[in-house]
Amino acid sequence: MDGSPGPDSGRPVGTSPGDGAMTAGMDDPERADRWSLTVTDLRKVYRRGVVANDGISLRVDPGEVYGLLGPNGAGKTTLVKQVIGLLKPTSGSIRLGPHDLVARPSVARQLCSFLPQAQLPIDALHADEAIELTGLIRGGDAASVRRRTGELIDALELGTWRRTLGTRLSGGVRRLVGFAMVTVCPGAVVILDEPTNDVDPLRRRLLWDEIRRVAGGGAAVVLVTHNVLEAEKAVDRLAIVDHGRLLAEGTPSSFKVESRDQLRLHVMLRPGAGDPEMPPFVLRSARTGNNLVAVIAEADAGTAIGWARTLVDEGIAEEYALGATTLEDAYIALTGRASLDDVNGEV
Amino acid sequence: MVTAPLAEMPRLRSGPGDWLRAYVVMTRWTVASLRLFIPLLVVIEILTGVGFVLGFGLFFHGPAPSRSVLYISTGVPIITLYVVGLIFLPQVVAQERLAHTYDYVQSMAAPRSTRFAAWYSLNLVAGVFGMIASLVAASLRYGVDLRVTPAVVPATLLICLASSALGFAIGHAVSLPMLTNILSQVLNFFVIGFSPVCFPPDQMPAWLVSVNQGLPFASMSIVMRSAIGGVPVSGVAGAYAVLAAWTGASLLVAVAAVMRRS
Amino acid sequence: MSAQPLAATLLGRSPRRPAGWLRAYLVMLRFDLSSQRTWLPFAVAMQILLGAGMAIIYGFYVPHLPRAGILYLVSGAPALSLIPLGMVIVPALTGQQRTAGTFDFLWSLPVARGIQVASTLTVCSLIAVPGVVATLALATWRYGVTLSISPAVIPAFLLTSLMASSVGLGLAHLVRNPMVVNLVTNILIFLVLLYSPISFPKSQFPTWLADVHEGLPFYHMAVVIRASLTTGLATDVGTSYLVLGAWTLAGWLAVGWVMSRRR
Repeated sequence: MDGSPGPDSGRPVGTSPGDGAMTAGMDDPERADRWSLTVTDLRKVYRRGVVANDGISLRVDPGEVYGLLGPNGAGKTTLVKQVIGLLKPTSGSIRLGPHDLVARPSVARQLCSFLPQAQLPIDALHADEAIELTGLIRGGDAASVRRRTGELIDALELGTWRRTLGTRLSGGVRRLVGFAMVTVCPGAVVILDEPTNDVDPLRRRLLWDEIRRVAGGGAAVVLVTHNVLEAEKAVDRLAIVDHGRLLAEGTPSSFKVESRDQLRLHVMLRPGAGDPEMPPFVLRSARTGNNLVAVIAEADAGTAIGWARTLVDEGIAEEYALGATTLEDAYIALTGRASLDDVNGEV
Repeated sequence: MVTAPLAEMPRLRSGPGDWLRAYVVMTRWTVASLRLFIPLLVVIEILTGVGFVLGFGLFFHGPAPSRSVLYISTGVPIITLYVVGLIFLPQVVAQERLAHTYDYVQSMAAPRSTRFAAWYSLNLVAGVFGMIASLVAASLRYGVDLRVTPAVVPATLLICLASSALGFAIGHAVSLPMLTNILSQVLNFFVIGFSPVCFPPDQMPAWLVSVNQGLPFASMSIVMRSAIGGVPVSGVAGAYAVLAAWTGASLLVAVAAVMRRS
Repeated sequence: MSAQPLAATLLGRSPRRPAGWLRAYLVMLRFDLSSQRTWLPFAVAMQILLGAGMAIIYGFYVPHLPRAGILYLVSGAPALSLIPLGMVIVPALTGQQRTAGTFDFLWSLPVARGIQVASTLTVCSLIAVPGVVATLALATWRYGVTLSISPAVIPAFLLTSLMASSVGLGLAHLVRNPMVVNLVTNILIFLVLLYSPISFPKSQFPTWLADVHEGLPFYHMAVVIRASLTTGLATDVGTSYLVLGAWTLAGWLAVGWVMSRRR
């Protein structure tokens, strides 16, 4: 139960790109923990001709955390809303095990849990009440629901707010309560649309641990996010989505394959400083506000540090840091824009 | 040590046992969500039931004519029965849309019919409470003597059902919250002022009487008066049929609206 | 008018000189007018419903009114139509602005809050005009009466709509939850329509209720308007003007208090 499926489960984790083989344990189609969520060639065109999803295909296996990463308006929320049955695809199919979710949205709601991006209607409910009632609605029995509610409250450190009314909770705590509502009795598929919005960095980690546990229990978790760092740390595989299309898919490390021998130099410029001239060993660079990020070859690490130090001595920069490349670079390369992260990349 | 969240495979729930369980939890959820408004609902029922009955007397210079009194006394119970389902509940849905929580509620795992059943239950409980209050007030203030028959049970159940169904349809079919508000207000006004519920039809223009023949409110008044007396009515069976038809049509519209996945 | 030009314009004005105030007020007015344009149909609908609607409905409940009674009823209709302005429309508008976060933006502008309130009140009072006119037209047509309109119409309507808007604004700022405001105003409207001597003479009301209405604004709204539309039907008009003025001030004080609390 520590989150990674055992060797005998037959469930793949971190499938590398190009591995299209059906390796999930499909030998017993009746067992929920053998069901994969399969989306095939999904198209969603809105009434005014807006193409929100343009032929997306993906598969999420039980036990894995699958990230959907992309900028706002990329079509991620549209995609998951079709899985849970709130929207109807223009064409394409969504299957969960033997079930056709497009044809039977009521089945989709029973088998899938959904945490939407918007706040949840728990104004008048106590935090623990909201979680318990949702568990009961999802078909759990009273005793297990109560026990699991207590566990979730402890795991997410929500004890102080256990009996607080929803309307008095801060945005971040409400989000956590929402997450608990969705995972107290998780379905075979758990969809989380930007679950860490408004959540403080400390509790964000707790949330990721809990997400890992849910996946470990056999659910297929779909994590929608625009936060590149979250995508890197919390998922097994991810897909980068933009303009309604799935641009690339794979494990976080597979995305950084190209930048294997590269490092990231982060220089914090003094406010008001102009753009310093880029020395030849800088492969790529981008500046956001006073943060200058340069990608260099690993071999040039020493030279780069020397150059950064010069900038500091000359008063052009305040600080610098050297570290491994992040998913951000692949993201920028694919989508052409920076994610909405703060560039410090602090977790 | 946290236990496995998905120890058992989720089985698809269907059948009456599951529905009943879902209905009970959904009702708990609905009532708990409206917790802050329960006191206001009580006030609304009392004001409607008692306030209207009493205030009506102020319209007249001197004592109110007995015919008018009978109409008010047997008409106000209908208002108390519809006010929660037809006026208040659509505004709850409108508020959900405004607060962007509508999607979540629509994605909940319980069958959508349990949500309607929960609303109907709330409407019934509130309505019966208001109805009793209004009958008592009328009896005390105007000395009205009504003979309540057992037919009041199906009458109340059906009037409440038609109101909840219509309110459910309005709430889900109308997507603009402001429009829902306007519609609720207009409906309330229409029933109080332009339908033969609280005053005799001969005090209305003839064209208005014919308009009301297709609408459910005149039928509600016939059904109620056949059960509690006060005002002689005819065409009772037809009135029941009209109400049932309106209930069915409203539920169809509601189902279509709710199933619609754009 | 979008937010950025507005902010730029307001920043360029000096808030201290009267000319600066006037310009800031006019700019805010333009902003408010354009952003509240969408409320106009709703406002007019509500006013006609409660104004003319109620006047006609009373006629159904009380079928054989004498001539004086009918005149009383019709001349009270505009008061009925202005009550939803203060009790439904203004609170709903304010509630929506609060939910949308408009106030956070508006109150961060370098404009005196007093000017913003003045602009809002102006717009709300302007919204009242079509509804009131339509109500009077409908009611006089339905009952076939003619009114003797005097120049007092202008101060009467100005004061009553200003009072209704001010009290409504105060109410809306005092109570935070929009659904609560919605419910409370619906309840209050119901009470007011039934228990106020607006459409029927005060003599039909029990003394205690009549006394309560000496303090509340509703009866006085009707008196002031009736005096400007008829001759000889309304008495003690001066007292009514005073009471309405006091209520208007109370509304301003409430709004001022809420806003100062925010600092």
